[in-house]
Amino acid sequence: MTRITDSKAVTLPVLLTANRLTDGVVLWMAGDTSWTANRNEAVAFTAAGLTVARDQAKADLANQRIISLYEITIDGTGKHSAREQIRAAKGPSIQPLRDQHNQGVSNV
Amino acid sequence: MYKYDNLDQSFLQSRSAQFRDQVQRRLSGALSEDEFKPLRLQNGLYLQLHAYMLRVAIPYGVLSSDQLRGLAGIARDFDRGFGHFTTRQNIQFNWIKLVEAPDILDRLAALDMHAIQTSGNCIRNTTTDPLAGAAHDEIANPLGWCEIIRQWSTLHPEFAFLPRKFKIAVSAGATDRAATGFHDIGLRMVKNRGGEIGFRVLVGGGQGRTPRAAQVLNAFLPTRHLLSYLEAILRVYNAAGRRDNIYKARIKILVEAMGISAFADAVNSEWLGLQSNGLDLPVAEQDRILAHFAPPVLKPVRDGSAEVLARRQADKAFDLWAASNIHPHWHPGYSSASVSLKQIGRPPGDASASEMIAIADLADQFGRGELRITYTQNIIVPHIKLIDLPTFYDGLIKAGLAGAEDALIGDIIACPGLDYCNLANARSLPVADRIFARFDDPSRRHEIGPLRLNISGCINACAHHHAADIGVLGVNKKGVEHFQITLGGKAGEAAQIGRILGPSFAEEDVPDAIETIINIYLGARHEGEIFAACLDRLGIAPFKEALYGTG
Amino acid sequence: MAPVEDGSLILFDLAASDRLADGESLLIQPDYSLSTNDDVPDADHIARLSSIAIVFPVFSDGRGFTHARRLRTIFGFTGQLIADGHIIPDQADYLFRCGFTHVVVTPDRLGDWQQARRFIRIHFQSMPNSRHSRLDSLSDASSF
Repeated sequence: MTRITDSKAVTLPVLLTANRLTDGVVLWMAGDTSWTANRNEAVAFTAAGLTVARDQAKADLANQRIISLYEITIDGTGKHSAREQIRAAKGPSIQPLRDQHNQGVSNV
Repeated sequence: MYKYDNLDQSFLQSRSAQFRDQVQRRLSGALSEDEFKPLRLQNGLYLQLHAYMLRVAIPYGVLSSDQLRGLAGIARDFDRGFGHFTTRQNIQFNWIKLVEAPDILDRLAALDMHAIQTSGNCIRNTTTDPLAGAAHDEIANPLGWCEIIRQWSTLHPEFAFLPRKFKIAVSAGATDRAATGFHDIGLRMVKNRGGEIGFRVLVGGGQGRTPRAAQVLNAFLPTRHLLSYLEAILRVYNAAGRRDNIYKARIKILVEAMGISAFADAVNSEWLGLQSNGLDLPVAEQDRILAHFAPPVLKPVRDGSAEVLARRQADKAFDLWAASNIHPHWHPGYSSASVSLKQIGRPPGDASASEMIAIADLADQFGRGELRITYTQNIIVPHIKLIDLPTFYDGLIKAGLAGAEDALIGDIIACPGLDYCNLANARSLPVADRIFARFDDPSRRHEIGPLRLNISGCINACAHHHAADIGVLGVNKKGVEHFQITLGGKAGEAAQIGRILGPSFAEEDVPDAIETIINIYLGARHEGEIFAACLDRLGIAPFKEALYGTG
Repeated sequence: MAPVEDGSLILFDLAASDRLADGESLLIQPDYSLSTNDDVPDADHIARLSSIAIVFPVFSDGRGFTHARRLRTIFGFTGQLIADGHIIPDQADYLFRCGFTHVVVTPDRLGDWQQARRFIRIHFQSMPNSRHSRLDSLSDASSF
């Protein structure tokens, strides 16, 4: 997404995110265009760096590394914030049920 | 229950082998993601927010105690020790790895289970009344017909790539406990004047963006013509359903566009050509399947009502539980009991592996080793002797499963919502918890009486909020999760879509809003008048007024 | 259009689960070609055809299967029914049972097509060319 300011096109920073093909784990593109499961290592790309990142992402789609690639534009509106927070937390916001192994034995 | 033989089991094994091959070809790149996606969906594998989700079929909601224990084992070995029961009587596991899915399908096959066609643009799990075969008000047992439909729809070569998903429900009780009015095809078992049993065929019901109550397509279809008739409907839909817009691709849109008359003409015209095609099962095969669902031979037993009454008088908690969780049976000495999976701190419909095992064991000890998953995300154990109910209840307490009560305000249906689902706009689980906390007192829940409250995290309405007395719909309002409230939905015979009351509420304001609605009801109701009836009588105006003031 | 094999397209025989044998002459150019979007031609026209191709713009457009079944059972078409366009090997069983005789495939996928029908050999529907696996005898419907 670009805005024209003072006759210069400015690209808003973009995070690239996807899921790993083999296990569906949420990934973000890191600074070296590798994929990381750690949200803190995610880098927002702009301009030339973004082009390189996108090319790498396309290649990773084609090479069966990732699926469901999309971009998160950092534009300050917080439009996806709830969803992205939950993705970043890698789990639901509520406490899931905990299994109690000392109760009952599976016969499988 | 339907017993798998060598043929059925070989089929599952071959399906599993096929999927293993497809996964390998996906990993090697021989299949693109676009090509693989419908294939994995038709084996129940979704990509969700955090991982893959596997939706395992529980055909028409019936499973054995061994199968439930087997699902517990899968939850432990391949997931995080719990599963989620859905409004279509299936179970979902949320933390699945694609590379392990073939092994899971093999494990399921060994249990006579599978994930075939639980997702994708195909015919999905046929659902029914969870009391089927044990109910006191049935014309016939619908389970055998559900199994006949299941087999016919399994890998049906013409209908594997429909415009959209296709859901069939069957009901045979005096009240429709299968929400047939909100399915693509609803089948209600009826008797004609000659005493012959057949189906009243409804078509074009659904939830989602454009909720619709189904319309009558055929007032009486003899049972022997079921499959050829279904084939005719599916063929008209497959050929003419819209494929240009996924929000307009369900059969309800086609029925509305054509009009029910023209649609019926198209189906009848197709059906004329189909009846002689050998699609309807030979009587011998039909009867072979139906025989699996003959009424169980129940041991004679003395009437246990005195024991139950005595316990109810002595134990307030049991009294409240019994008032809502015991269902009458066709045999006077027996009953069916609901195990509620609704509780504060529990996502509605979730059960841990240890809980699944405990419930399976109770079904063995007190039932007939058979369980039912309900449309409301609970579990029913059918065929329990009345005299055993107090001890069964004690078993539930021990397992921490006395929970909430069936069909009262605590019996919330909620989709997984934004915590798990890629499609959601808002989280449904925290809202469910807040509402449950507000109505935490069982006596109060009983005082309020029967009330269906459903929470959907987005307009896809997987929690059927349109069909609820009180519906809650999650929306995204400028990045903040908000919740719209609807009133007056009905899932039974006279299916009805709820009406939006007004602007949405922030999450923390939802419990107040619900309580306001409840208080209006409690203040205005006549003696013994349930919420739905009171709302019919008053209309939504007083509720709207109380929530939003004079506009 | 192309002859049987021109290096870029192969005509695959679904019943045999293999490419056509050398010497079998069947052109990929059928008498009539329709897309999944089209209606089937009228009965008189169909009666004069010996080969029909149904073109799938995308493999998930399932109308082609209904076309095939209608052609076989309502119109009684007995000629070659060829699936063309975007189709994947995993549809082989469905294509065969709906009455397709051939598929136009690319060489790189021939191996997958040859394997495709070996997986699902048990069926729960009676079709003219494939019996419901549990039933003892074929239905009366004629096979072609």
